[in-house]
Amino acid sequence: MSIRAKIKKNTYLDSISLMSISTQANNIEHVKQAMIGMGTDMNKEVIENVGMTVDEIKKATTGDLIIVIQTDKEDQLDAAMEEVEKLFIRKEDKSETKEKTYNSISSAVEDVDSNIAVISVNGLYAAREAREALNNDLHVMLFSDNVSIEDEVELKKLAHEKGLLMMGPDCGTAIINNTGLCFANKVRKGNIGIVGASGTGSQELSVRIHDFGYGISQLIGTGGRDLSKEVNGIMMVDGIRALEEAPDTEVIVLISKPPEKEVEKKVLKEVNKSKKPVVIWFLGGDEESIQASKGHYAKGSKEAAIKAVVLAGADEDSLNKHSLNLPLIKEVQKKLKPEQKYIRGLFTGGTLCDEAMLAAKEYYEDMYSNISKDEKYQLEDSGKSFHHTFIDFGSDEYTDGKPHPMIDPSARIDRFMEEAADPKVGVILLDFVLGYGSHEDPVGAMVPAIKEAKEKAKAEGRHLEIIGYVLGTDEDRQNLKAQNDKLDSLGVTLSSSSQNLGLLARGFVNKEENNG
Amino acid sequence: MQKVSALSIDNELLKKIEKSNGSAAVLHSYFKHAVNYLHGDEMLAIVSAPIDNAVSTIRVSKENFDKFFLNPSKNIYFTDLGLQINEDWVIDWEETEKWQEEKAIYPKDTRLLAENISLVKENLRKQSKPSWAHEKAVNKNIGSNTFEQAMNRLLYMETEKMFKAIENTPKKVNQLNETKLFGLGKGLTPSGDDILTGTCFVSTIENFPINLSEQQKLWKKTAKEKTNLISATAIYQACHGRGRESMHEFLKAVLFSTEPEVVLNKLEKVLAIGSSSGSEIAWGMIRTIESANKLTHNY
Repeated sequence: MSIRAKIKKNTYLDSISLMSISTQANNIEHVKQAMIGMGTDMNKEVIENVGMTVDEIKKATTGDLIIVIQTDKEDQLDAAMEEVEKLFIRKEDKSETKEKTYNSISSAVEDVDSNIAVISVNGLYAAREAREALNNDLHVMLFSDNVSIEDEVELKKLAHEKGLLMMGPDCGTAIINNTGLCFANKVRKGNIGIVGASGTGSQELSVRIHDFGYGISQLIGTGGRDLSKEVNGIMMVDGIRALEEAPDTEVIVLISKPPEKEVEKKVLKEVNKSKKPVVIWFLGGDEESIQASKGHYAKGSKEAAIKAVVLAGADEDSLNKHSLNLPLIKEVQKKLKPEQKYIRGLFTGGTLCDEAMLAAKEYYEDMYSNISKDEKYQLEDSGKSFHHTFIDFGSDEYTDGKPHPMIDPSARIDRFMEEAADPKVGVILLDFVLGYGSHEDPVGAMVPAIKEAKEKAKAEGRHLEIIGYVLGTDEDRQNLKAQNDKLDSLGVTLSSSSQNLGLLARGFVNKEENNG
Repeated sequence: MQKVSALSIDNELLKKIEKSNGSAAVLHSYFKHAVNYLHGDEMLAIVSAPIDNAVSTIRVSKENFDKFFLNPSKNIYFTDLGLQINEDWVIDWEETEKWQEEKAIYPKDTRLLAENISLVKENLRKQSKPSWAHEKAVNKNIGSNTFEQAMNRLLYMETEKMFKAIENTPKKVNQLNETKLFGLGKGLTPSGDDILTGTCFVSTIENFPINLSEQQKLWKKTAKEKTNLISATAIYQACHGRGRESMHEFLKAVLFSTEPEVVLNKLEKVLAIGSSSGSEIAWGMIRTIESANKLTHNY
C-alpha cells in the first residue's frame, strides 16, 4: 500500500462540498481509500490509527484541510492525487461560470427574454419565489420540496387563472421545447407529449420512447402530489389541455403514482374530451374506468411507451421490445443456494422502485418497502431490510439535508455493502439514472463496492446476483454504452427497463418457476 | 455605492456594531451561503436569505454568495451607513428586523419530556441520523473505507461515554475533561464538535438539572486548541446558550410542545443545517435533555 498526503493551508469548504469531494475522491481509479477533512488532532489520530499517516500530516493545523489517499502501488499515487486536485478545481470553476445573477425574479424578468422560471431554493422560500414568477407571467418549474400543500394549491390556482404552467413543487423532470430541465434525459424531439406526476417515471417513459425511435414534444411535470385530494389534479388537467392545443403533439401520455379516486375521475373526464389519443399509466390504476374514458390503459412504463409509439405511427412488429432472457433465469436459479431467497432493491428513482416492486409482487406477497402504500408492507425500520425489500433512496428520510442519491450515491453504497453481506440475499437490484442533473458517472461510483461485494461473496462460496438498470439514452452526457459496459465487465446482469428489473429478479430467486 | 438590504440582524451584534463605528473586520472564510469575518476575537457572519437567524449573524437579501458582491472583500468596515464591503456595497439594516434570541427555561413539570425525547430519538433512528450514532456503529462497520469506519466507531464510543459521564456528574468529571470529541469527524465543523455544540447549548438554560458550567469553561479553552475557529466559535457561543434560531425553536418544542408534528417540524429545521451537522447538533441536544430527564422525575 502506498500513501500520499497533501495539506491545503487555511482552507475552508462547506460540509456539503467536502462530503461530495470526499465521495468522488474515493471513487477515483486506483484509490483504495481517500480521506479529506480538517487537520484537527483527533482526525490526525484516527488517520494514524488506520495506518494512513505520513510526515506531512503532522504539520497540519486545525484550520488546514488534509487530503490523504491510499493506492496499491507507488506509481499510481501521482495520477490519483492529480485527479483529487481536479475535484477542487472543478468546484472553483463552477463558481466562475459566466451566468448572470439577479437579486430577484422581478429584476431578472426586466433583463431577460424568458417565459419560464426554474426555482430551486430552500422550501421555506420556494412558494414566495414561485408566486413572484407567476405574477411576472412566467411558467414555473418548482424543483424545491418541503412546500406546504396549501401553498401548492394556491400557486396552482393562480397559475390556472393566468393560463400558466405550475410544474411542482418537488418536480424533478420536464422537457419544454426540447430543453431538458433538472433531471431530464436528452431525448429526440418527436410528437408524443407527456404529463407526469412522477419524475423518474416520466424519465423512464421518455427514455423508452426514445429507445423505440420516437421522440418527445413536451414533458410537463406536475409534482408528485398533484393527483392528491387536496390539489385535485389542477396541473394534470391543465397539462392535458396544453398538449391538446399543442400542434407538435399527436399523442398524449399520462403517468402518475396511484391517484386519489375522485381526482382520477376528474382527469379521466378530461381524457374523454380529448381529440388526441391518450395513453394512461397510473400505477395500480383501474383498467376498466380508464378504457371507459377512451384512454389507452397501460400496466407499466414499457407498455405505455409501446402504445404511445404505435399510436404515433410505429409498426409494433418492428419494435425491439427487449423480451426477457429466459435461459439466463434458469442459469442464475441454479447458481443461487436455497437459502438465498430474497431480493433487495436499492433505488435512486421512486417510480423505478415502485415499478420493479409491482412486477415482483405478482409472485411474492412479502415485499416490504419504505414507500409501500400498504401499511402492512411498510418497513418498520427503513434502515433494516425484511424479507424482499425495496428501498427508494430518493424519499424524504434519505434526502433531508443531503443531495439526492442521483447526485450523491454514498448512502446507497453503504446499504449495498450490508445487503451484499447477507447470506439470505440472492439478488440485488440497482438503478442508475443518467441525465442533465444526475451524477456524472453513476455506475463508476458503485464500481468499487460491486467489486468488493462480489469478491466477498465468492470467498464465502456464494454467488451474488446483481442486476443493474441504466436509465438513459445514447445522447445523455454520461454515455449510456460506457455505463452499461462498466456493469457488464463486473458480471452485473443488465436490465433493459425498470419493469424487467422486477421480472428478472422474481425469476432468479424462484426455484419453482419454469418459464421466468 | 449600492445598498444591499439586510433581512434581519442579531440584536446583540447590532449593539456591538454600534459601538464599533469605523472599525474593520477581516475576512476569515466564505461559502455559498455564508461569509465569516473576524472582528477582534469574535466571528461574525453574513448569510444568505435561505439561512436562519443566528448569533452574530446578519441575513441579507441574496439567495447565495456564488458571486459574493463581485469578490469577497478582505476587509469590511462599520460605518454610519451600515456595513461597507469594498467600495461598492453597503449592507443597510436601518429598517430591518432585529432578531433577539429567546432562551428557554427548563420546565418544572417534565411529564412531556420523556414522550418528546423518544419521539425525536425514534425519528432520528429511523432516518439513521447521525449515521454513526446508533448501536450498529460498534458492531458493524459504518462507512465506505477503514478510515470512515474507525472514525464512526470512535464517534459512537466517545459520544456514549460523554453522555454516561454527564449522567454521573460530578463523579465522572474526568471523563468529561478528557473527551476526544473535539475536532473528531468529517466536515467543516467535525461531528464531535457538533455534538458538543448541542450539549453545551442545552445545558446552559435556566434551571437545567445538571451543572456543567465548570466543564464549559474548560471546553471553551479546549475548543480553541483542538478544532478550527468556525467550530470553536459555535461551541463557545453554545456555552453561553447562544445558537441558531432553529436550535432555539427545536429546544422549546421538545420542552413544551404537546404536538408531535410541531416537534418533528422543528427537528427538520435543525437537520437542515450543513451536511450532517444538523443531525449531530440535534443528537447532542436530545441526548443531553435525556440525561437530565433521567435525573429528575418531578411529577
